[in-house]
Amino acid sequence: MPTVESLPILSCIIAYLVICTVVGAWSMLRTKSTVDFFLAGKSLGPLVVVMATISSMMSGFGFVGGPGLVYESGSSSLWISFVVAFALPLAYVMLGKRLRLLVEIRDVLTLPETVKARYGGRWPMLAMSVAIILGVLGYLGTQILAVGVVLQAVLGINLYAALAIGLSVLAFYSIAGGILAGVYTDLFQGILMIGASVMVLAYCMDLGGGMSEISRTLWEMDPDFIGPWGARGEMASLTWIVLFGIGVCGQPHIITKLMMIKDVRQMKWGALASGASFLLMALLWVGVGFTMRTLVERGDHPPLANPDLAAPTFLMNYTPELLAGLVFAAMLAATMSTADSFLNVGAAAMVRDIPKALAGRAPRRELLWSRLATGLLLVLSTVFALYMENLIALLGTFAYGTFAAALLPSVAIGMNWKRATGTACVASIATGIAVNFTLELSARHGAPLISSDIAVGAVAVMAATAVFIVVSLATPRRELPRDIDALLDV
Amino acid sequence: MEVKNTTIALAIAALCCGVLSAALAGNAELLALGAVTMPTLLAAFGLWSRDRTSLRTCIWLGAFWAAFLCLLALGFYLHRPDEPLRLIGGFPAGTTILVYGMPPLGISFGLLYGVAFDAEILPEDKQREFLRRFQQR
Repeated sequence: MPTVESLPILSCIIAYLVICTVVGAWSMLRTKSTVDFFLAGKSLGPLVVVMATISSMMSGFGFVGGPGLVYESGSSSLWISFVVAFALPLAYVMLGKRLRLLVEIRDVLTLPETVKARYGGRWPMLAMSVAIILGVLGYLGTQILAVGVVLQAVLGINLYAALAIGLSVLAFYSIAGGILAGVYTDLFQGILMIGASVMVLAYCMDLGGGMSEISRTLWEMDPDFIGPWGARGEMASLTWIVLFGIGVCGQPHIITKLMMIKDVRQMKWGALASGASFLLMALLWVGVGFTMRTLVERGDHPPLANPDLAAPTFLMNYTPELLAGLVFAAMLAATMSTADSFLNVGAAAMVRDIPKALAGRAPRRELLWSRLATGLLLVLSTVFALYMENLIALLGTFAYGTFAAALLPSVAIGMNWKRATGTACVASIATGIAVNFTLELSARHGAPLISSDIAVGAVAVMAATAVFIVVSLATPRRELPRDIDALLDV
Repeated sequence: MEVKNTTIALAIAALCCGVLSAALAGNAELLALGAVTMPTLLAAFGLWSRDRTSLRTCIWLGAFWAAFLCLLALGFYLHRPDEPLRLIGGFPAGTTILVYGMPPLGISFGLLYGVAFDAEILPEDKQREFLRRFQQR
């Protein structure tokens, strides 16, 4: 296990953890209502929304898990990072204006409330809330594990101690500051990471002797590793294209950001800025993974005990200390702010949406209950992450699939199609969750129902979408309220 | 909107079944076709408006689909693990297509959204009229 004795790196990490605590305290003072806690007061500028969106998308999944996945399976994971560049604009196309305008005409703060406004009745809202809580446990587990891996590598302590430190800061920052704390650190770390990714790529190329030399080394090791489909093969890559190419439209931490923008017209160039910024950030994902594997193959570095250590190891050993410190701080920021987003949507589902679906109203002292629910979710998802024992990126892929399968049909298709029904919404959510969990758990317990090359989430999202459309056409349509009918025509 | 989008929705449902079958049968070529068509159809679903969608947008969607399909086909065709390494732009030929082809495709999608925003996606007069009728006081 690499450890660091560098003062600049340690200073950056400690400074970051202090900044998080200060931002949490500052946000707590600004968070006076549930609109502030869940939707940042619907007052964010376009730059903040773009940075918050791509930082949430990248997070520990991309910055820590991404290089690990490239180190382990080569080009396969490039398909994830590259298709997101058009998947983010697709989310704007399918949902941007309608979600933001819905917030103007209805008292809607969360996705389950969006579903209630669209379909009516209590069951769609309840099903959506349950789906969000299940997805949050997996995705939040990914972020928590990433925080643990980074702190473990930097501080040279064991994973449990690293998790305890990371969770303590995260708990204060999220419970106190709500989504405001997350989006403002996203802005800071997003800009930092775009610059840092370009600089880290330059160090990667320098160390590897240029991309051609890296390619030659990896080709000699295994031509498929550096080939277009990577070591996981074409079926894995193609199902990742399906899952990540359309699944963004079902990611609550991404699409709720579209509800926070101050003015819907500010979305105009948001799609382009999101896609382009994400590609720049992905340079770190790609560069570090290939270079670290090249160094190991050439015998310049011992093999890594865990692929997830690719990014921390590279930064500590092969980049200037100050740059490494800044990137570590930004990695932690990305991971924690995404965790904050998940805690936020999960807490909303537990405290606001489920009670509203069952009893017709949110509990009194909603802000206090939201903070308590945030703490509970932190504990549950840590337990879940330790149980799964997956690579960070693979755990993230599973959680991503859970959200995509459960939310994409009901939200993305439902907001563009008047014929969609509430029954179909419930049926597709149940199908998505059942398929995703059944396939994942069967594989984990040694009795896989499908080939291990196929991304489980892609199968789940296809099944859920087909069920949604077929059931919608087979069940009677509900007369839409005038405002929702007009919204779907805008 | 409803009739047209129901047609596209039916196409999406059929495509989902096709993608599922291709994945479970291990047919990479058909899966690639489905993987390219799915985001294109969803984009058509989101962009379609009877009175506003322009020919430019339709052509762009067709071009996006064709270019994406070509990239995947070239990925299959150019990857020759049994032959000597042929580098183009620092990567093996098949991977070059992915690395240099996919980013512009994504960027063009964002560009289309920006260019079409005022006239097709959310005309200002439609937005003003909608908010005048329904915005909460």
